[in-house]
Amino acid sequence: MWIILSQLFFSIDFLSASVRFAMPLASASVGEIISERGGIVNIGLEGMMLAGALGGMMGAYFLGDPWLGLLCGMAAGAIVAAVHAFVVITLAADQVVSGAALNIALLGLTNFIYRAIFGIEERPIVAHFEPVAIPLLSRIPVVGPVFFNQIPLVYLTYGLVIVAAIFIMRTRWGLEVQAVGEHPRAADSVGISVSRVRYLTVIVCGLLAGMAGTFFSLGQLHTFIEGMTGGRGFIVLAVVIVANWSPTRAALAALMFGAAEAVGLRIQALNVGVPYQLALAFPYLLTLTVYIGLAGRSRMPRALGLAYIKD
Amino acid sequence: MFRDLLHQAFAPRSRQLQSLILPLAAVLAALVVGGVMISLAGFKPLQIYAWMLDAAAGTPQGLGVSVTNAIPLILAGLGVALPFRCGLLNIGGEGQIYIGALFATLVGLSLHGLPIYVHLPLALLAGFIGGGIWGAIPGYLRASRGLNEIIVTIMLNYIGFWIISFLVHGPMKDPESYGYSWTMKVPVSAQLPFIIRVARLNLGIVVALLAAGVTHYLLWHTVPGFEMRAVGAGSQTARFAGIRVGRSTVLSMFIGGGLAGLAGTSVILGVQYRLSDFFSPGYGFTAIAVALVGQTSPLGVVFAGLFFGGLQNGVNSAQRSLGIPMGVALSLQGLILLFMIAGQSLTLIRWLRKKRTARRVDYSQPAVLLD
Amino acid sequence: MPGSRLWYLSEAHPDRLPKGAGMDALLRMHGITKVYPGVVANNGVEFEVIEGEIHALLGENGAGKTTLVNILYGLSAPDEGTILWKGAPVRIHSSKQAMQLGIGMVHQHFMLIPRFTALQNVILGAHSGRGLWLNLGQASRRVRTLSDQYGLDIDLEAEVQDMALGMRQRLEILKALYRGAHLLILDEPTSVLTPSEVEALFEVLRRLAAQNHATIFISHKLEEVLAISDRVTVLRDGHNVATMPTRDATQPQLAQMMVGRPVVLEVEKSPAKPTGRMVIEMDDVSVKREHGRDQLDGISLQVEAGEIVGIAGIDGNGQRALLEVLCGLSRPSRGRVRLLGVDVTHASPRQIASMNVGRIPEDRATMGLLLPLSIKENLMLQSYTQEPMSRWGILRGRVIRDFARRLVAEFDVRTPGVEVAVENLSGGNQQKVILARELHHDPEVLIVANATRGLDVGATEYTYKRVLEGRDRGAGVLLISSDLEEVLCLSDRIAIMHAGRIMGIVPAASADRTQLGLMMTGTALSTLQDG
Repeated sequence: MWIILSQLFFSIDFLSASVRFAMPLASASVGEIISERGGIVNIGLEGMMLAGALGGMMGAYFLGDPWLGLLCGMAAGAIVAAVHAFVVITLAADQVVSGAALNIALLGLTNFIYRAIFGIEERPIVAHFEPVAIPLLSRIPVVGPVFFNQIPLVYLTYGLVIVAAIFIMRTRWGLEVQAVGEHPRAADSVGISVSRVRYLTVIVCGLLAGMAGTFFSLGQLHTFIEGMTGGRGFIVLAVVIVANWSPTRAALAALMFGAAEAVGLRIQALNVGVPYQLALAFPYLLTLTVYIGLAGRSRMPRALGLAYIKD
Repeated sequence: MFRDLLHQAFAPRSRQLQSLILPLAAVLAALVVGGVMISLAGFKPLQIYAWMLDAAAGTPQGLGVSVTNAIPLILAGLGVALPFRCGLLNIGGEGQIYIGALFATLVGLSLHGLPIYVHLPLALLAGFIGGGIWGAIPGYLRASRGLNEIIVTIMLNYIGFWIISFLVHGPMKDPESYGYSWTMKVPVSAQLPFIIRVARLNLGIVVALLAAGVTHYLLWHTVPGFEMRAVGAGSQTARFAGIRVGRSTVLSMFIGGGLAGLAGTSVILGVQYRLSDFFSPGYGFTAIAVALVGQTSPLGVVFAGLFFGGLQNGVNSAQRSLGIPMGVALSLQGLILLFMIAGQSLTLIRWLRKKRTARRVDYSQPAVLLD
Repeated sequence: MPGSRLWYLSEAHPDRLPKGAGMDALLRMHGITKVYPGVVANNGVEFEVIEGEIHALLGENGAGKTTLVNILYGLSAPDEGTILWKGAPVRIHSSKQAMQLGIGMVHQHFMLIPRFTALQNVILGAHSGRGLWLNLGQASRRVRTLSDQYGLDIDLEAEVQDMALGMRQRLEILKALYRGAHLLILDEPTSVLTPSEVEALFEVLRRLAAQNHATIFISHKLEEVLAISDRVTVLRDGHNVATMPTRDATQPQLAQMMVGRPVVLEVEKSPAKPTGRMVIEMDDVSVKREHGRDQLDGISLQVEAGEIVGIAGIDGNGQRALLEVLCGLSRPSRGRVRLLGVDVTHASPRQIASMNVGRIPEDRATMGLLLPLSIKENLMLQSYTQEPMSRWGILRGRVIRDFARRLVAEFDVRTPGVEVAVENLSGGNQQKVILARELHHDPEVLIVANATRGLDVGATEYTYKRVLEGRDRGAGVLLISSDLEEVLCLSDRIAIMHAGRIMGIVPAASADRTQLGLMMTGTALSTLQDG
């Protein structure tokens, strides 16, 4: 039993897979952190990621290049985010319901658009990302192949996490975003345009969620399958909470969820007798416990989920 | 008495018309967008819609499928509508559906030799309690510690799902099922029987309609129901008047969860007869659309549920027979919901009001009561 | 002695000149008029401020002080009048523009981000358009210099949510100074401060004046106004009643100017017949507030059956806290409360609601009514748990409906039916619903808080009539109101609240307006009687 476990946890394959599974979560959670810090919650992340997955796949298919596909995917995510932004900022509708509506609508829309364009024939394999080993860094024992022999999107995400952390804590804009999420009225009173800041954060979130979506269609599977994001948009919401709204911690939390997914797959394959569902449910249990326990010291933005209406 | 029903089902007089117009307008807008989508895919929208209408309501069999589809939607929609009246958004429907279905299946499978009029109600009750517990948890956390019920319910959705998944792939799995992972069939004494054979319509619709009636009665004719509505209408005033806000919160989430649990139960005991982990195509989320389109009143939820059930039926049929791409039903559902909340937007209403002069109703005549 | 006109100081009395006089005024507001539906908030107001002075703006609620400074700060536009800043006419369209001119405002409710540090709050939004990076080091030095220059004594690294209210206020001042404020407006700055914090604030204001900044100090507290200001302007009913150097003003004079007003409402009032039975007893009740002065500070009060005790005072001096304690919504940290002889110090709102007490709360919308619900449902809010409204948890629709109809007729609520949602009624009719609900069962105790706010004359008269009826039927009434006229009109005895304390209780018949005004602005009755 211990041999099996150690085989499980100390194999490069497993760790590399964990990173691979974690990075779309990390990318989307960075986006969601920025949006939530500004006070807007995106239940519709799942929809944005799906849009990104389809957009990325279609971009790669018609334009022949995965990087162009990435741009298309990001744009798709941003468009969905713009709709959400309009509904919850300008129209001041409920953020949760808007997000849920977008999820439902996009699940249908992505299916529909894919089928309408590609019909029911065999799924096309599109231009995609291959793992690229970073010279020197990928030679470091253990850490090297795990972290530095991945698709370029993963490296992009590493950079993203760092940029986001710096952005929030050390730039003027980051301060404004935080202010808008904590106390929009006070921010307004010093001349900050609450709705402009919020629009920007939501669209940035859409761009990053779109990018997260392309991980699936241009990174793991090289095509588009209906519902391929498999509920990970909701996991991102959990990641953000466990990470206490910090980008670097979100990367770590994403690794945990990614590892859980990898463990789940492994257990399924190995038929060990431990239910894989436990592994997959564990991150949610953890999130719940963390949320209940954190409550007092949580850094949840005070104005999260509330519409700001100037009178 | 019926007039009171109508009064209460559709908001005060001056808004009666508005509460009918908005859902219709939202549906119309979504159908227009859907029509554009369909025509871009190379089909004729009006032809498709006509087919859908015929499939959903044109034949007894079609009607039966529509209504059968509506059963879990009505129940889960009530499960969203009731807590909504208490000021809470219950998006934990998925988890409550699964846990409710689990409890019902357990009672169904573990009791033997009971007549149907004992076994079935017990199973239904179990389903209600299971969903109720799953709903009471976030309710309690919110009431006692102010924890946001959105986050808790989303987590519980997944935990609930994975519990069922584990059980049906593992300890509860039917040893004779090969490809699928599901439990053994529940005995006939726990199944919802057909009431209209030709349409394959099961007793679940009666359960759903009864549930709607009971929900209505609870909200408008009982003390706890009134307290829930008071809390939803103004929790500060309610507290000032002495109402225990926390208790109403937990109670509304318990009942709401229970109704969602019944939704899951109705699918297991009425259609599938076995528990599996793939029986809910997102009922918990569609329920939100059903509840809001139905203006969160039990009567409205029934109509909205029937509508969405018919929509699902029509779309499935059109997909099968006419070959329109899949995804139309979900797209329409999502669009309807989006247009609904956009239409209810306060800022939009304010903006529209600025364009027209506000019509203040003149109540200066003496108090001659017209009731 | 000054009349109702601006009293400029001429060079003829050089020893009476405030600092900086002889120069052109920094700010001059001419003929400012602002009208809101139903009320003239500012009526041809003349106001000026000189560099280096602390100019107090004195007046009751509704006198027009806030309207005037809102216009100055760009939050609203005057209907008539001109503003001269440094001699040149300006139109101030927004707070941003006001800040650019050099006008800064410290609001009564702080606009600070609780989770941010003091430094972060100061620099937030102050550098728009000037670079991406938060240069905290450089900013920190600048802010610290500024803070030391004015003796603000602020811990820049502390989070606002951990700060005492006095420090938060000085932080607001620092914010304004950092943005180049030359004229500072302080709106009721001392209402939440402890006495030592008030002293610290005054030190800062003196330093500001010494460095030639001008300050507008809005207040209703005479002692403080006399202690800190150079000149004082009294507003009343939208008019500038007088402007004078503070050293020439006396407390009685100012008090009289503040509250002297012709009586508008006459109500028929028969003499009270108190029965000697105590219905409300409060014994040294205190309510603590986190960070700052106590909300209630040793309140002792008795109300007998058959009398009306009015609580007068400027809004924000503890009246809300008093109401909350009496309704079980907040717990006193000290003292005892008794209603109808029953100790309710630790009672829940439900327990108090079920006693024979009628409560007319101050805020109709958020505490008195369930707006989306029907008239019928609002009317039953007080009695739905008991027979005959409900039995075994089931509401009895017919009984409720008949009850509602009866009440609507009796209290003359204008509506086509009892199913109409309350939010569709006019303010006056909404109030009638509350009155009907609370009065119909002849309560022995009546607590009425600011009940006629926002009501027209007719509705107001109706409310007064009902309250007097209640008293004549033997109830003991506690009437809390920031409208002194209302209190004088209805009460048998008057208690004045100031800063969470009762300054004195006087019989209404012999109440002297000036005396009341003085008590409302901080002088205790005992002091008045000695002096």
